[in-house]
Amino acid sequence: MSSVRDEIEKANREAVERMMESDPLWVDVGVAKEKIPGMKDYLLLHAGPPITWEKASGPMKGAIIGAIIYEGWADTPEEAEKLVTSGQVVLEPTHIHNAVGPMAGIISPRMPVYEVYDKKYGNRTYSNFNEGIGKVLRYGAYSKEVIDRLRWMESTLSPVLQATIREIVKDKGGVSLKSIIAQALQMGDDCHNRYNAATGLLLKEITPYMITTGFDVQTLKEVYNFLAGNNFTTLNLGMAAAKAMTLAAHNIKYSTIVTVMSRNGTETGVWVSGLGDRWFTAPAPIPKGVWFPGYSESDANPDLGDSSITETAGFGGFAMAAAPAIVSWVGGSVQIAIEITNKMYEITYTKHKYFQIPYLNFQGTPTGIDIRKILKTGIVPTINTGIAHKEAGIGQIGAGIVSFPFEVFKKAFEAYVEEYGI
Amino acid sequence: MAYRLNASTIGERCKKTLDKFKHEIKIRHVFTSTIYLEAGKDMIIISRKNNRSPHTINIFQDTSINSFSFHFHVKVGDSVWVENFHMYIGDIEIELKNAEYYSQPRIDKIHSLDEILEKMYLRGLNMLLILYSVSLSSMPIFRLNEFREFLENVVYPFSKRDVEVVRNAENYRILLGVGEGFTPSGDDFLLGFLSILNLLDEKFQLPRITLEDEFLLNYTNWVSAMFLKYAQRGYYDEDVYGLLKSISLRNEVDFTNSILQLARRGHTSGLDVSLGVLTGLASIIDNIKCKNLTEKLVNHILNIS
Repeated sequence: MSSVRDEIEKANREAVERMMESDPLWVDVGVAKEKIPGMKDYLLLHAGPPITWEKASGPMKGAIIGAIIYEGWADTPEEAEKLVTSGQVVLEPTHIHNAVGPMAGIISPRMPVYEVYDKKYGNRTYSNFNEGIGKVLRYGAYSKEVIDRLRWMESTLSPVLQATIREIVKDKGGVSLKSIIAQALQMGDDCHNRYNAATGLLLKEITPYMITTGFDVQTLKEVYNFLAGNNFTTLNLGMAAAKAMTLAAHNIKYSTIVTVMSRNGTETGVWVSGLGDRWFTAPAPIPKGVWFPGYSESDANPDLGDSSITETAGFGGFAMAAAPAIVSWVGGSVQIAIEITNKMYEITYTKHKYFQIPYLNFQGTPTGIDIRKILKTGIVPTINTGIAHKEAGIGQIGAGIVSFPFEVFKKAFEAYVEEYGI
Repeated sequence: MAYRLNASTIGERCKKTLDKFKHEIKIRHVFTSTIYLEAGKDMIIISRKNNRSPHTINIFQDTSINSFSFHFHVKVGDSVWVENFHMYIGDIEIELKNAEYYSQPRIDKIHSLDEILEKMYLRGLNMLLILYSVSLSSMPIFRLNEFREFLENVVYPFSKRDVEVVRNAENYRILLGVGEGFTPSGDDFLLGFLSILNLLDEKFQLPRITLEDEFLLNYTNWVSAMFLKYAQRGYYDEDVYGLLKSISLRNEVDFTNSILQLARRGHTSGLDVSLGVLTGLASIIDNIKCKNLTEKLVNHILNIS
C-alpha cells in the first residue's frame, strides 16, 4: 500500500522534473485572436484570478479602458466602461488561455502576441509585447501616447518581429528562451525585474535575422532602438517561457507544487498542480517599494500582474542573489536579495538543474514551490514587482518587493486535504 | 554594562514562581532566542518568540536587532536574581514592570462526543499526515518501534474499551524520552495524548491520568518533563491551549489554525503534539461510542515504512 507521502513525493518529483526539463522556444508572432485558443472579439484577457469591473482596481480599469479604445470598440473611457458593465466586453484570466501578461496583463483580440512552443512537452503559451516603463497600458495608462504606441507596435514592431522569428524558425527552429534565461542569471539578471543581460542576449541572437527580413533601414532602426531601449523587452518572452515550464508541471495528481501565482490588483491567486485550474485567492498586498519622484506608498495600488510566473518557475525574485544590481530598482540591499533567495530554498522542492547562481557557488535556483512547506514553515514566496498608481490613467510609480499572502496557500492546502485525504 | 531588554508578557505561573524562588534560580539551557531557568521545582522560560504560556516571560521584539542571541550574553552557570521588577541574568537586565500579565482561563471539559468532533478529528488527521510528509528523511515518530508498540498495546486496546491500559503509568514509560528533538517526539505525543484524555468530563468515567514528577524526570530530560508536568496540571503554551480549546468548543476554524500554527514548531515537535491530541480523541470516541476511528489511524501509521 503506498502512503500519501509516497504519492506526493512521486507526483512532486514528476512535476518539478517536467518544470525543469520543459524547453520553451519562441516560435512565432501573430494576432492574439488568431493565436490564443479561445480568444475572440469583445474578449479581454487580464492578469491574475477572475475579476469583475466592479472589483477591479484603478490600473486594471485603466488598462481595460485603454484596450477597448485601442480595439476601436469605444472612443471614450465612459463608453468603454459601459461596454464592460453591460457584459458586451467579457473579462477572463490570461492563465485559462495559457497566456500571461505583466501588470494588468490585458491582451485584446488584435494585439500582437509572442507564441512560445515547449519542444519537450508540446504546450504552446503566449504573451503580449512589452511597451517599456512609465505611462504604459499595463500600468493602467490609456492616454493618446499609450494608444499610439500600441498601434505602432501592431503596425511596425509586430511585422518585423514576425518576419524575424520566422527566419529564425526556418534556420534553427526558434529562440531558446531557457538558454537565454540560464545565461542571463549568470550575467546579473534575475529575469523578473532585471532583464538587461537577457535583452542583450536576445538582440544578439535575433538581429542578424532581423536585418535580412527585407524591411527598410529606417523601420529596422526604429524597431531595434525600441527593443534595445527597453530593458523589459524580454520580460514578456521570459514570462511566456515560465508559463510553458509551469504548465508542463500542472495537473499532476497528488502534486502539491504551485503552478500559477498571480495578482489582478485586487486579489492574489494561485493554482496547485494536483488541484487543477481552481483559484485560491486572498486580497493583494501593497509592495514595499522604491518610488519614482513625487510618489509614495499612499499612491500605490495593491500588487498586480502575471509576472510572478517567473518565481513560480524558479527564477525572478527567487534568483535575486544572482542579480545584486536589482536592489537599485526594487529596493532593499544586496544582503536582503541573498537572504530572499536563501529563504526560498526552504519552501521549494529542489534546486534548478539549469538555472544557477554564481554567487551561491552555482547552486541551482529554488524551484517548485511546495504548499506543504509554506504551511510547515510559515515562510511565503517573496517576489519583486513593478508598482502601479492606484488610479487609472497614471501608470508606473515604482518597483519593489512583496510577499504572497499566507492565506492563499492555506486555502489551497485545505482544498488539498479535502481532495486527497485518507 | 548590562544589556537591557523589556518583557512584553509575563505568564501567571512565572509571577508566583519568581516571588517564591527569586534567590534560587538556575540557568538550565541557553539558546539563541530562549533561556530555560530552573526555579525551585519549576521552570521559567525567557523567550524572544511570540508564543506565550503561563510559565514564559516574553521579551519585547526589537526588529532592528536581527543578530541578537542570548548566547552572547548568558551562559549556564551565570547568576540570576530578581529585584524591584527587574531580572538579572548574565549581563542581561530584563525590565518586568510594564509586562502584560498572561493568564489562561481553564478550558471547558468535553461533555459530549458528537459528529462534529469526528469530522474535526478526520480533517486534522489528514492535515497532519500531509504535513508530516514534507520531509522524506524524517518521520521520526512513525519510525519509532516504541511508538508503534504504544499504538498497538495502549491506544488500540483503550479504543476497544480496555481502560486499564491507560490507567497504568508504566505503560507510558515506553514513549518517555524517546525520539528526536529537544523535547523528544515521544514526549510531545504523550503531552497531546494525556492532555486530551484529561480534558474529558468525569461523567464518562474514564480515568484521569497523572504521571508523577519523579517518574517523568527519571525517563526524560528536565525541560520535557516540566512541559509534561504543567500539561497535566492544565497549563499549556498558547498553541496547544488553542488546539485543546478549539476541540472543547468545536470551533473548526480555530482547530485548523491551531494545527497549522503548531505545525511550525520544531522539526516535528508541533506535529507530534497534535498527533497525540488526535490519537487520544479518536480512542476516546471509539471507547465511548464504539466507532472505528483508531483502527484506521493505527493501520495507516503502521503501513508507513
